[in-house]
Formats: sequence, C-alpha cells, structure tokens
Amino acid sequence: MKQRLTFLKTILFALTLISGALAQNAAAKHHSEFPLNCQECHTCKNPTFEKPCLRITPHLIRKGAPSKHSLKEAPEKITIDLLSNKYGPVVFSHKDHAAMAAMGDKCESCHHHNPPGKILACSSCHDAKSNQPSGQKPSLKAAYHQRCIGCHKSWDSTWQKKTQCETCHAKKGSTPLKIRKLVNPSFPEMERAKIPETFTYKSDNEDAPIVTFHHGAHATMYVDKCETCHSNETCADCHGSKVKEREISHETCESCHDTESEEKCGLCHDQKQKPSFSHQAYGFTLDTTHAQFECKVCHLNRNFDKKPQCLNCHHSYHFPAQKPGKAVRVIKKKKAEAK
Amino acid sequence: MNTQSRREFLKTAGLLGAGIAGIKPKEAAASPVNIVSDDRMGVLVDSTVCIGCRQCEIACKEEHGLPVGSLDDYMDRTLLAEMRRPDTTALTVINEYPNPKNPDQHTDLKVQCMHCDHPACVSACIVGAFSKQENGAVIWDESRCIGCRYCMVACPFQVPAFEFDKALEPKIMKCDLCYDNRTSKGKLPACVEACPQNALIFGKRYELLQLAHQKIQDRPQSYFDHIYGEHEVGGTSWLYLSNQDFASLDFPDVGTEPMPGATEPLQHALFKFFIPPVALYGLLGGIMWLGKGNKAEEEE
Ligand code: SF4
Ligand code: SF4
Ligand code: SF4
Repeated sequence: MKQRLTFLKTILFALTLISGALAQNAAAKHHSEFPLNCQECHTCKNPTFEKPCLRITPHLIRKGAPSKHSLKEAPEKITIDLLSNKYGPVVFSHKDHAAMAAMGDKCESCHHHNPPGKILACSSCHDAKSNQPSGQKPSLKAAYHQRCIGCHKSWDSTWQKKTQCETCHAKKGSTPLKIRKLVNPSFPEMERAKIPETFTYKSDNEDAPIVTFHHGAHATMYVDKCETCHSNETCADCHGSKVKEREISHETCESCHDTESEEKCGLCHDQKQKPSFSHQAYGFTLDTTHAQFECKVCHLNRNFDKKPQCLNCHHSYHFPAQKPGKAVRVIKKKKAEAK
Repeated sequence: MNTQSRREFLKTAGLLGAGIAGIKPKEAAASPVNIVSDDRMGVLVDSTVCIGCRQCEIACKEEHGLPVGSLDDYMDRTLLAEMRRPDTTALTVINEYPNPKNPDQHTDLKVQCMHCDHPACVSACIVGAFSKQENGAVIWDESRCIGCRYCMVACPFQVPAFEFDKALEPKIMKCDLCYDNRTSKGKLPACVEACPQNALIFGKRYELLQLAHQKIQDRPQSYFDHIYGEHEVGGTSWLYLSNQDFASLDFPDVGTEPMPGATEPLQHALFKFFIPPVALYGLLGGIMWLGKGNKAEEEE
C-alpha cells in the first residue's frame, strides 16, 4: 500500500513537471520550430541537447538572429565575473566591440549559432563548470579567451615580448578596473574620436596628381555609420602593426561624388594637398543645430553645386545680422549616431 | 656493423640469457605491459588556438612537485625564441615558430611525450620499467629502472630525460599523462585543465581524431591538412593540428611504422626471470656496444 502511494506521488510530481515545461514551451518556441536549415549549424540529422553536433564555431555562414537587432540595443559594458578567481572581473566594452564588428563579421562573429529571438550570452551555451570542451564547444573560459586573444595578441605589439593577461584582467585587489588602451604605433589610442583625419594619394592625373581624402570630415559629417564605407574588415586591418593599404579608385567615391564630369576633377585632385571643405569658407556656420541634419535636407537632391537657400526652410532670413525666421519645414534630425 | 651480424649477436645473447635462467627461449617471450585499447584516451593539441601562455607548463610542474619559480617569469615571451626540449625540470615546454598565415602572430606549440601506441621506450626497456596503460598513458616505474637509459636512445622524439645531476637514484623523467593522480581516476591531465584556450582537449583517441578531421574539413583555411600522431610511429595518444607543415615545427619525420627497440629480443627473458647480476651486466655491456653501433649507423 505504501509503495503504491509513493508511486502515485511520483506520477503526480512528474505530471506537474511536464505541464510546467509545456507552459514554458508555449511561451518560447524551440528554434527547431522555425523555418531554418538545420544543416547550417548542425552536422548530424538528429541533434540533441547533449550531442548538439554543432559545426566548429564560430561559423559565419548563417546570418542569424543578430542581424535583426541593431547596435542601439547593444549593452554598453558587460562585466564578466563568472570565472574570476585569480583576477578581478573583466569589463568588456561590448558596444565598442559591436560597432567594430559591424565593419567585419557583424554580431555573428561572437553570437554564432544564435537561434531566432533573444540574443544569447556566451554562458547560455558554453559550460562554465568544467574547462573540458563539451561536444565541439569550448568551455566558457576557453570561449572567452579564444574570442578575445585571437585578435588581442595579434596587434598588440608588446604581446610579442610579454604575455599580457593584464590587458583585460586586473589583478585582484588592484583598483580601479579599467580597460587598458591598446598601444599601437599608428594609432596611439584607437577610439572613435581619434579616427584618422586625412589621407593623400597619388593618382595618374598629370596636371593634378594629388588626391586629398578628408577621412575625418567624412566620418563625422557626411556618413553616419563606419560600415557605410567599411565592410569585410578584420581587426588587424585597422589595428594591426601595419594598417591595411586600401585600394582607392573612382568607384570608391562615385556613389556620392560625380567622377564623370571633367569640371569636377578639382574637387579631389590638385597639385598639393587640399584643405578640408568648410562651410565657413562659403559664409555659413554649420552650427550644432544644422550639423544634426542630413546633407540632403539643405542640399536638395544632394546637389552640392547650388548654394542652399535658407528660405527653403525658414520663413524669412536676413543673413548674417538677424535671427532666422520661423521654420516652415519640419526637419527630422539625423538618426542618433551609432555609438 | 651490418644488421645481420647484430641480429646474430642478439640471438646468441638472447639464448645465453635464457640459458642462464634455465629456460627455453620460447617461454621467455612474455611481453611487458603494452595495451592498445580501443577506448584509450589521448590529447588533441590544436596549435592554431594555443597562445603560448605557458599555463600548461606551470600546471604540470605543480602537479609533479617540480620547482615552479616566479609566475611572472612565465610571462616573458623572449625566452620562446629559443627552441627548448622537455627535460628533468619541465616535462612539457612551449616553443614558438613564425606563423605563415599571419605575420602579426606566432604559432605556439606544446611539446611532451607523445604516448605512442607502440612505444619504442617500452620495447627498449630491458627491465620492463616502462609500460603502456589501458588508458593510453606510457608510464615509468621507478622501482624497476636500472638507469641504463635505453629509453632515451630509443624514443623517436627524444623525450625521456635523465637526472644526470643526481648521484643517488637518478630518475627518468617524462610526461606521464598525469597517470597516478589524475587520468587513472577519470580526471583531466593538469595541463589540459589549466589551458585557458582549450588548445588541449582530452578525450577518447578515436573521438579526438573525428573532431580533428572535422576541424580541418570545416575550416580548411585555418589548418594544414594533416593530423600529426594519427599514423606517425604507428599512432600516438597525443595528436596535433597546425596551421603549417609539421616539418617546419621541428616534428621529426618518423614514418608510420612503430619503432622497434634495439634490445627487444632480449628484454622479455631479462625482465620476466631473475638473472644473476654478473650475467646481466655482461649482457648490458654487449647491448650498449650494439646501441652505439646503431647510432653511428644512423648518423652515416
Ligand atoms: S596553456 Fe594552452 S594556450 Fe597556454 S601555452 Fe599551454 S597549450 Fe598553449
Ligand atoms: S614519445 Fe618516446 S617516451 Fe613517449 S611513449 Fe613514445 S617512445 Fe616512449
Ligand atoms: S599530461 Fe600531465 S605530465 Fe603530461 S604534460 Fe600534461 S601535466 Fe605534464
């Protein structure tokens, strides 16, 4: 009799468990229910949780869930303290890295195999308990190290002389935790604010061989995202001991500049380096209000030959003595910058 | 000295040895322990993810009670420029080579005993101090060793090291796959556990081979299409993946046939049955002389 009771109890308990699991399933569908091609991530026919037979990671074939999320949602900093014992927690500048990844392998460079839906943290798949890989997956500790050091040991010139755990790990007890700036011979501090200013190139134009490219002005004023121009970059392309020489041609610039008509050559080509374009030189101060607008707001149809008319937007305007009149056009500001 | 005459000598010596012990040669053919189990374990070294942090060296020394020294010294990478071999102070070492795929990086490589499936050290050891265990480990038994150092000569990877500086009971030192305290009890080898990169993966040898082949297949741009240790000297428990030809990483071209120990026909009788010390030393003298001839021949 007693035995039977225990048996019933067990069944009841199991039922509660199952119904609980079902309720959960209804809320978050398992990714196998989405129209996905299993073979892009799994190598076997019937992957299970224990034996997921995942492809070697990171595997970048599938532009998965991360492509549906934007940089704006990316958390600024992530503190990794799950495994800290010898060292203090690592502060990972997630958003900066995400912005850089946007120019290369995108979010998938870390969030590989992310099924549709929420972006998953490394620890949701990689095992934190043991340092032995489970299946084809590195342990959590190794996953972090493989992803980070794969790049960090390559451009950090001092790594060649010293193993620098302290680039990311502050020794326990030492304060404050701060991500050390990477030392690089070309860019002392690689930050968004310190993007390279000006590049000059030599072209085969005999009369005016020097082409000046004001990179800084383009990056801060004319395009809102680095990836508009930079795609398929690797970390070392910018951070490496030798910055990648980029091929530049008329095609590079023609999406915005007229490279066909002969009168326009002088815009880029000259006999010496050209100064950067300045609105000031044309009698207009690009103040903080105006700098927020996209070029085409004032330069209708992106026609930069014609001087924009204040009256296109303002009720009346007597330059430069008086205040502008009432705005007659409501203008949307540039989307918040990706930073 | 030609092979024929050496073999003749060995035969005679073998008969003599057996004769001394008062048995027929056939009965003397009891093998030392050398098991090649299907489930034997191994370690896959993926040198493309190894960063040369030397945490494995530290862990190995701690595990084997060898002096570790200052941890900061292990951060100094300038030392890696020189090629090192495992010795009595370090059973495993990291060496560094240029990386042909990325001039900004290096290729780092862990070196230790390969734990051969048909170990020449086991064959060479005349007293059976060396043995291949069921889990793949090739280990050395201090109580049996007579210090003849044949294992050092026989090993195609020059792994066993001898404590020349110790007058009393010098030991043969080599990686033992952490057999005593770890792998025989189902635990990870110390170096594997310490590796922050999972550059070392401990597992069943056949599964590691599957994984290694899959890695090469999935990322042909990252790997040189060869698994060192899959067939070398008849297969080894430690397996290596690399981004370049193994010849440029100082891996010897050892062929795919197991290396026989020069003393093989003798050892069984010697190890299995008690032999009067005088006869033993007489034999050893002869064998050493042979070993010498063998070496000279190789160098020719
Ligand atoms: S601990 Fe791992 S990554 Fe570090 S040197 Fe040893 S094998 Fe390489
Ligand atoms: S590498 Fe040398 S010492 Fe190690 S098992 Fe093989 S023959 Fe023996
Ligand atoms: S398996 Fe053990 S003995 Fe061998 S190198 Fe690793 S830690 Fe050292």
